[in-house]
Amino acid sequence: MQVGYDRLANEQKNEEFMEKLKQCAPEGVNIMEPVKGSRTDDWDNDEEMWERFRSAIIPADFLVIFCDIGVDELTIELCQRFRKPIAITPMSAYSTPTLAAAVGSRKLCEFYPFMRWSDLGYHLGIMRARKVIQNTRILLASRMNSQVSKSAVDTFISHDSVTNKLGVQFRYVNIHELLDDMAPATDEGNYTTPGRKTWNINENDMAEIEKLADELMSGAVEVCVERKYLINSLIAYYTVKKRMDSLDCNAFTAPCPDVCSTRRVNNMQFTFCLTHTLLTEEGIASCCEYDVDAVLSEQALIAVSGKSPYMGNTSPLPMENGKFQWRFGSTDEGQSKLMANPENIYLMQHSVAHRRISDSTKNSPYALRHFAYDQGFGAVMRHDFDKDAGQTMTMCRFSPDGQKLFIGTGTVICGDGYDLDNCNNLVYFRVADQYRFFNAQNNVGNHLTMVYGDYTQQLRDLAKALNVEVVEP
Amino acid sequence: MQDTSKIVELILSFNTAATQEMALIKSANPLTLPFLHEHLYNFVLAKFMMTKDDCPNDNFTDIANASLAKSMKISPELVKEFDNAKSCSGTSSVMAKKVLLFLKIQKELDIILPAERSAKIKTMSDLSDMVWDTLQEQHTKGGKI
Repeated sequence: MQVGYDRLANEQKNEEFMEKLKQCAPEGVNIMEPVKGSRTDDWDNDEEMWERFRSAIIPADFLVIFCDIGVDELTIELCQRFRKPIAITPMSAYSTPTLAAAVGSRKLCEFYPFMRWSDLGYHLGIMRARKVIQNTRILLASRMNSQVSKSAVDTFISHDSVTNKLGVQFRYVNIHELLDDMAPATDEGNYTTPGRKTWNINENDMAEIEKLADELMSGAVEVCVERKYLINSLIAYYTVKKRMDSLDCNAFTAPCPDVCSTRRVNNMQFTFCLTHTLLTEEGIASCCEYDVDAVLSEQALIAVSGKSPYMGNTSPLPMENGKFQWRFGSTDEGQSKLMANPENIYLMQHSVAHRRISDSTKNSPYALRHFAYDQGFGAVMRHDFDKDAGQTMTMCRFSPDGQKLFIGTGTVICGDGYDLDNCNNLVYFRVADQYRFFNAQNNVGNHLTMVYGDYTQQLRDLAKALNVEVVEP
Repeated sequence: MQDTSKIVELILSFNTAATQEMALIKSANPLTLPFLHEHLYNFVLAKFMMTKDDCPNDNFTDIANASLAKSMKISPELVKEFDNAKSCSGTSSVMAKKVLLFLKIQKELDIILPAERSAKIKTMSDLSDMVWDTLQEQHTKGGKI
C-alpha cells in the first residue's frame, strides 16, 4: 500500500456503499447523510468520533453500518451506546455472522443480518411500515365510552396498552363538539364550547364542498342521493379533516350507533359513511363503528402495500341443508351467483367502498346512493365487486388486546348490494378452508380490513417487528 | 500469443506519453483550466493505456472500466458484472485503478486531493475541476496559476 491509498480508497468504497443503499431503499425510506468514523492500527477510539455519531444517530430510526477491517469491536460499542435497530452492509460478509452472534448474545439491540441488498431493501420497507404504525395518531370522536362503542365491542380493550406496545397515540374529541363544528361559527361560539376557538366549517370550506359535490355527482355512473344530502355528508368529511389537521391526526373513527342514538345525525341528515370512504380512498385509515382496532389494521395494510383498504363485517357464508345461511347484506340474487361452487365462501360488507379498491392509481366507476332508506340522507359510494373477480385479497386485524395479528387471504368471487341503499355493498370471496379461517378470525373479531394483492409475508414481518403474534388460518 | 517485446514497447510508449502530458501541465505558465483539462485527459488516457478512439464517453468510471476491459480482453459489461471486491480491503479493480491514478496525480503535482470529492467524480471535467481547485488552494503561493 502507498501512503494515502486508504484515505482515497475508503471514500470510493463509501460512495459505492451509499449508491447501493439508495438503490435498494424502497419509496418512503429516507437515507440520511452518512456519518464516518475512522480507525488506524493504533486501535484509536476517540470520544470526538462518538460525539459526531451521537448527533447523527439520534434522529435516525435504523442504522446500516459499513464495516471495514478492524471495526467490529466499534460496532458492538455503537450498539451498546445507542441501542438502535441495526444492520450491517451485505458487502461485509464475515462481519455479519460475527456481529449477529456478538450483538445478539449480548441482547444489545435489534440486529438484522442480510445476505443481499434486496433483502436489506425489503427490510427497510418493513421498518418503515413499523414507523407508520408507531406514528399513527387516531382521532376518536367518542360519545359514551372513549375505549369501546356500543357496537364494535371487539375493538381494542385498552388504548393505553396499545400505546405502550405499538406506540400509537389516541386523540379524543367529544362527538357533540365535533358535530357543532359542522355549522358556521357564531359570535357566541359553539353550543358545547361557548366562547372557545373552534374549527367550524366556513365559507371557503363550503365553496370546496359544493365543488366536490358536483364532481362526485357528475363522475358517478348512477346517482341515487339528493345533492343536499351529499352536501351534508361532505360537510361531515370536511369537519373531520379540519379537526384531524388541528390535532395532527392521520386516522379516524366515530361510533355510528352511539351517535345515531343522539338523533343529531337524523336532524342534521348525514352519516359518516362518506367520510370513511373519502379518507380511505386518500390512504388515510378510517373505519365504521368506532372500531379503533380496524383503523390500526387498515393502517398496517396501508403501511405494507401503499394501497387504499376496504373494511367490513366479515363472515363465512355456510351452506346448511342445501341453502346458504342468511347474512346481513347478502341477497338471493347475489347468492345465486355462488351456487355453482358454494364451498369456502366468505363475505365482507360495509358502506365504505371507494374508487381506489381495484386500482390504487386511478378511480374506478362508482355509484352514489343513500344510507337512510326512507328519508334518503347519508351519501354512500358503491363499488362493483363483480369486476374484481379473481383478485387476491390480503386481510388483517389485530386482536382486542393488541397482542396478535390475524393475516388471511382470499380470492374475490363477485359482489352484492351494488344496487341497494343502506349498508349493503359487499364482496364475496373464497378462502382455502372456511373452518380454519373462521377459527383463526375468532381470535381477533368481526371487522376485517383488506387490500388487493398478496401482502402476507410483509404483514408477518411487520408483526414480528412489532412483537405481535401472527394468527393465520 | 503476443510478442513480449511489442507489449513492452506499447507500455513504454504510453508511459512516455503520460510523462510528456504531465510535463506540459507542470511547465505551463500560467496554467489555465482548459489547458489542464486537455492535457490531464491525455495523461489519464495514457496511464490507462487508452486512445481517444477507445473512449466510450466522458464518464470517468466508464473509461476506467474500458481500460480494464481492454487489458483483460473482455467486454466492459463483463468488467461491471464481475469486478467485485476480491481482497480483504474490499476494493474492486476499477476502484483501485482510479485510486492509483489519483495517487500519481497527487505525487506529480505535489497536492493532496480531497478524498470525499474524489469519490464523487463522474466525468473527466469533474476530475480536471477537482485538480484545478486543489492546485488553486494548495499552490497559490507558487504563483503558477
